[in-house]
Order: sequence, then structure tokens, then C-alpha cells
Amino acid sequence: MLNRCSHALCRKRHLPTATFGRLGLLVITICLLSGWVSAADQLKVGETEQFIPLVEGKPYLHVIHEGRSVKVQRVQDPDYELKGYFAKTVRKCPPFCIQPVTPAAGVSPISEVELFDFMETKLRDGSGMLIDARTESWFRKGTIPGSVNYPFTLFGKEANDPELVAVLKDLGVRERGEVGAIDGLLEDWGWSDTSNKTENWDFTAAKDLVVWCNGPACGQSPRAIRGLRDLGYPGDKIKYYRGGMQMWQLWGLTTVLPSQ
Amino acid sequence: MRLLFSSRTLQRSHPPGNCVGAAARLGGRGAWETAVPPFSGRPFPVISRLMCSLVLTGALSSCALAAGDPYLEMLDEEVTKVEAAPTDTADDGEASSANADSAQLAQPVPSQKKFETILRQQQVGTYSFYRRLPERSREEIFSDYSGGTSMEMLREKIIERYLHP
Repeated sequence: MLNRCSHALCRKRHLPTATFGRLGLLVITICLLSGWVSAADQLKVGETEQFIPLVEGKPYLHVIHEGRSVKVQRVQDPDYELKGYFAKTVRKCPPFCIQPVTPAAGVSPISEVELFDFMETKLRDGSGMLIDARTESWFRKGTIPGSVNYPFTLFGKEANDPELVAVLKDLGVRERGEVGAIDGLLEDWGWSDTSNKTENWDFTAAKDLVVWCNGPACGQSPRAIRGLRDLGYPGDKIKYYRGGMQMWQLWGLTTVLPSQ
Repeated sequence: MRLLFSSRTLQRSHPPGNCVGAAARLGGRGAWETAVPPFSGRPFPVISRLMCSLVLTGALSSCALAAGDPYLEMLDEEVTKVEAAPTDTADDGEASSANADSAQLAQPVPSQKKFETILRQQQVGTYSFYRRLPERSREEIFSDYSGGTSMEMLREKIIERYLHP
């Protein structure tokens, strides 16, 4: 009230009071400002806490795709909704029928969480491969980072097909060639481990695979897996990511377009 | 085997022993029936059965060849719908945007050697860890650097990669 006195005499007479008033105003302003700053800080912290990680404690991960590092993370837009082809719930069945979780005996299904771990361990150290088993035209529309495209049709070829042979070698499978007489005897007597060997192939050093396609109603990766199993690829070295591209996109996870 | 099965099926379905029975059932007497003498004995029915089987097998196999693998054809048809659909997530979020990532991949990046020189000059200790990392991890670190990650974060990551390869 005193501060509102604008007369010169009045201001002179009540100088101490006016000074106190100003000081009071200053204190109030400081208090208000500090309150605003702390509120802003809280908001900032709140925003950081709202970051949607891949899983608890893992905000994102990096994966090498075509020689470059790609950051895999979830969409942070809270209003994000899946649109387009992979948002469809119904497709013609057959052939696009819901697939069982186990495409072949001995092969386990995995979720995104196990796939993240796979990306950070076996894919990174080269002991595993992430296989996009879809035909090339699908692969060209976008893929999961770190994937290589081996269409399912490859694994249905004749065992001596040069393309198939090359792919199997990429997967760490060795040709057995001629088995020596002693080795043959040892194998016959059961003294040599033949659990991961067939007549033509040695799968002992074969890579761990995660095979995927378009999603739970896609038959391409199950076919690839059955083809691999028919060739003798050990079931415990194959994992089936049944969710595929549909679930990957539903979770708002990073996809990449192949460069070539 | 299939041929044998077909002829047996025909045998069961059509009592006279030729393929005319079906035509007769469907609509009157066919031209083939008139061509077959009424008491031709065994040779004619056998020949007609064989011919029927051959014709049917030929027709079926040619149909199959013409159609190719129907599953692959349906897949090819289906993939065109992805093109027709609006881009799934390109406009909705940076993380899942295929286009954004491809653009990111296409961006020119500084030289990895230059980055290594800087690291060696500024962080000798960290560099000694870095150079022992596998190629993939080094590329990853460099990619982070290209994306603007701070040197402090890069140091932490290098050590983490070194300790947990």
C-alpha cells in the first residue's frame, strides 16, 4: 500500500518503508522464480522418466546392419498407432493362417525380449545370425536391423544346390566330404559324437539362428525352419521369432530399408 | 502310382469300364461312347482307360505347371498391398521410421580414421581399449560419434564393450 504512494514528499518521508516494500517484492519475486525453476526441473525429470525403453533398464540397443550401427528403440510418441498393412488383423487363410508357436520339433519360439538379448550377444559377436526368411520383395519393404535375407525358398532346394551350399557355409555349416575309415568306425561304434552331423554336413560349428517373417500369420519362416531341420540343422540352434514384422512394428521398434 | 490310382478310381466310379460313364451321367451320350463298339471285348476298355488316365494326368500336370507355386504367387500379390498402404510409421515416430533410418544410413559421415586419430590424441587410454575391440564394435562406436554422442559417453561405451565383449 505504501509503495503505491507516488508523491515525491511521500516517497522521501517513507523511504525506509518503501525500501522494505521493495525488498519484500524482491524476496517474493525470487521465491516465485525459484519455485518456477524447481517446477521446470521437475518437469524435465518427469519427461526423462517418461522415456519408453525397450525393456526395463535397457533404453535402446545398437545393432550392426550392413556395416553400420543402427539404434534400435521404441517410438516415443504416446499417440503413436500402427497403420498400414501390418495393422491389418485379417488376411486370406489359407495361405496366411495363424501359425503354431513351434514350427518344427526342437525349435523354440522367442519374443522381442530374447531377440534383444540375441542382438546384443550372439549377433554382435558373430556366433548368431538373424534371418529374414521372407521373399526379397518383402525384404525390400523394410526389415529388422541386423537381419540378412535368406528367403525360405532357399531351404527347400536340393541338398547339392550351389546356392544352398553357399548359404549353409555362411551359417557356419561344414561339408563333411569323405569320412576316413577310422572316423567312420568311431562313429559307427558310437565313440565319436555324431549328434550334429549328417551324411553330408557337419553342424557342430553352425551358428545360432533367429528366423522370422511377417508375423504370427506368416508361413515363410516356418517353412524355412522346416527346410533347415530337414537338412539336419540342429533344432536347439534355431529360434523362431513368431511375432515377426507385425509385432516388431506394433511395439514401435526401429526398422530399416535395405540399401541395395 | 497316381496313374494307377486314377484308373482305379475311374474303375470304381464308372461301371462300364471307360470314361464315358461320367459324361453320360452329366449329360447324355458323348461322341466317345458312340465310337466304342458295344461288344468290343477287353482290349477297348483297357485302351480307353489308359487314354483317359493319360489325358487326365497330362491335363493335371499342365495345370500345375501353368499355375507355378500358388503360395509364392499369393505372396507376390500380397506384397503389393504394402506398397499401396500408407507408409506404416514413417511420419509417426523417428524410431520406427524405415524411411528415416534409411535416410540416416544414407547421410555422409565423417571418416572413421579421423575419429580414431582424435580419440588417440585426446584419450590415449580409451583408445588402447578401443583398438582391441572387434570391428563391429568399433564401427558402432564410430557411428555413435557420427550421431553426436559425447566423448564421455563414448568412453563409457568403449570400456563397457571391452569388458563385456
